[in-house]
Amino acid sequence: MEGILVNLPKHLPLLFNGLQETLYMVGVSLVAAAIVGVPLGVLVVVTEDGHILKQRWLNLLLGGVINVGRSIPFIILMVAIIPFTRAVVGTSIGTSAAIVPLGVAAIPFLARVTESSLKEVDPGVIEAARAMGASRVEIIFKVLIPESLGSLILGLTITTISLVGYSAMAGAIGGGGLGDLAIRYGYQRFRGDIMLETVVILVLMVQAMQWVGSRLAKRVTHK
Amino acid sequence: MIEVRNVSKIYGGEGEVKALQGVDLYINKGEIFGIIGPSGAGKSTLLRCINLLETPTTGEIWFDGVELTGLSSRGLRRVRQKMGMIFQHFNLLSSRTVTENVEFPLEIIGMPKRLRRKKVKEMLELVGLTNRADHYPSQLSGGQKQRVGIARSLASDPKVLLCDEATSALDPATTRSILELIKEINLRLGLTVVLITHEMDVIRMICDRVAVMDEGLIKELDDVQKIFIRPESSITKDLLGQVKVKFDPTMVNDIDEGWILKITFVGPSTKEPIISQLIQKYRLVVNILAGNIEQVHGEAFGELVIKISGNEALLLEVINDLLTKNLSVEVLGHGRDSGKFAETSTSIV
Ligand SMILES: Nc1ncnc2c1ncn2[C@@H]1O[C@H](COP(=O)(O)OP(=O)(O)O)[C@@H](O)[C@H]1O
Ligand SMILES: [Mg+2]
Repeated sequence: MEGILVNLPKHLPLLFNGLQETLYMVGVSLVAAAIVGVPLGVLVVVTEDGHILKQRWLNLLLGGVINVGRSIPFIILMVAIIPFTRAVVGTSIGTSAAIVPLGVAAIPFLARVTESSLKEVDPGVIEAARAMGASRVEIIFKVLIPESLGSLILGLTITTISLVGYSAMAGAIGGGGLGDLAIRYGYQRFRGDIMLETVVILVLMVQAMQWVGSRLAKRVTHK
Repeated sequence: MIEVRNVSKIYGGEGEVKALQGVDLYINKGEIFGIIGPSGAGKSTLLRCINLLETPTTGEIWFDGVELTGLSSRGLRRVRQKMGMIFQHFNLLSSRTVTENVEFPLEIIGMPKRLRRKKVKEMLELVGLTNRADHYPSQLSGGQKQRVGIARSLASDPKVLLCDEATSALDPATTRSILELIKEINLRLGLTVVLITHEMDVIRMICDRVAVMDEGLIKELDDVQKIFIRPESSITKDLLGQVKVKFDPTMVNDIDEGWILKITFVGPSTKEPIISQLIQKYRLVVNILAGNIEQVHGEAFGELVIKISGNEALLLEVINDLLTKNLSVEVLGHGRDSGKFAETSTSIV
């Protein structure tokens, strides 16, 4: 225990760098995934039978694609899409390169999270909006999303926290970040103190994310 | 104003449901038109066909001279903005305040923000909720939520208000206040109201005309008063049972002689002393078994079950006399020793 406290100041730059890399990977991949995943989730909901844009085949197709995406283990996905990663960021190694598989993995996850949130919206409220002459776009942006915002925020929080976990695996392709730090120093070089410090930071970070997510969700929910 | 022409609606899937089987209706401008029927009769389906939330399988819907089933989705949206709708479970947006809920239809019609706020204020005054403007629906009582629903439905100046069981989730006192509000708006704004319910009381309180529905068909359609006095279909009689005199026919067996009559009267005749006239004129012994007077559409509506003594000839004379006073008479039964008249004729109108 003594070793941890003594060496902490020395480790700070290392830990800070790892934290930055983690936040960068998680942040960018989350935003990128949300841009694709959330609309995908919305599309799955509205194309369902009895919803505002019934499209049976599109619905089945999207549902199938999402399921396939979700069933591929992250570590395999990461390797499998290396050519794609190289095409996007120019390299398949490093922090930026890790963002691509993280983002791709988060898309189907977010789509399902979005889908389950939007399905919680009371069909009666959608009917009321239709009765008032709202268009489909208006129903999506003025009813479905605002009415499920709290639940969406909680879903985004879960996704973010999962991404923190996945980002540790991205260390395998030189992704960097706290997880990578813990594995390289703590596990491979038997530096238990660094491992412990990393884990503590990860725990605190996840706690903070959940706290912020829950607070935000509560603030926008008036049920 | 609204015309429903031979509309049917069949819900597909395995075991198809014929929710509507050829409905014809004409709803006049400015009237409060009620549709009553038991659960599953097709009332909601019919109402939802009027603003095409549900597409009729066959038939036409005419609104203000326009046939709606042929409209583009854009045209249809514009028409819906001229039809307000309120619901049993209010269907307010939980993420919006009262003000923002009432603002919703105004955003849809593209009214500028400044004008919207002014209109919302007017609407909240109309329904008496100015002091709840910044509350969220979850902070309101059922009656207040329905007032928000009404304010929201009227904000875009619709020509008709469609009400789907709008008071069915409310207690009797709140129901009355909401119905009074609808009546007041109907009078003040000349708004046409189409109202569906499974409760005769709601029809009785505010409707001008009523259609009785069962199994996807209109079984009877008339002025509310006429339906109350002379119900024709058995389903109407059943529904009327909700509000009519509860008379237990087994009581008849306990009566030695005489006739049991049910007299139904509406409006001015309720003020006449019918019973005392009978007693004086025919020297009858009149026994009142059950009675009830209610307001139907602003007029007194009463029912009286009486027992009179006498022979068959006297009975016919009494009935004729009552009929000339524009009352409706029904022979419910007779005592042991009073002839066979009632066995062959249970209803004389
Ligand atoms: N979306 C639907 N799909 C299938 N059947 C339906 C649907 N909506 C209503 N029905 C059926 O149509 C019939 C009439 O329903 P509804 O109009 O809701 O009756 P009411 O409002 O008079 O209670 C019922 O048998 C009901 O089960
Ligand atoms: Mg119904």
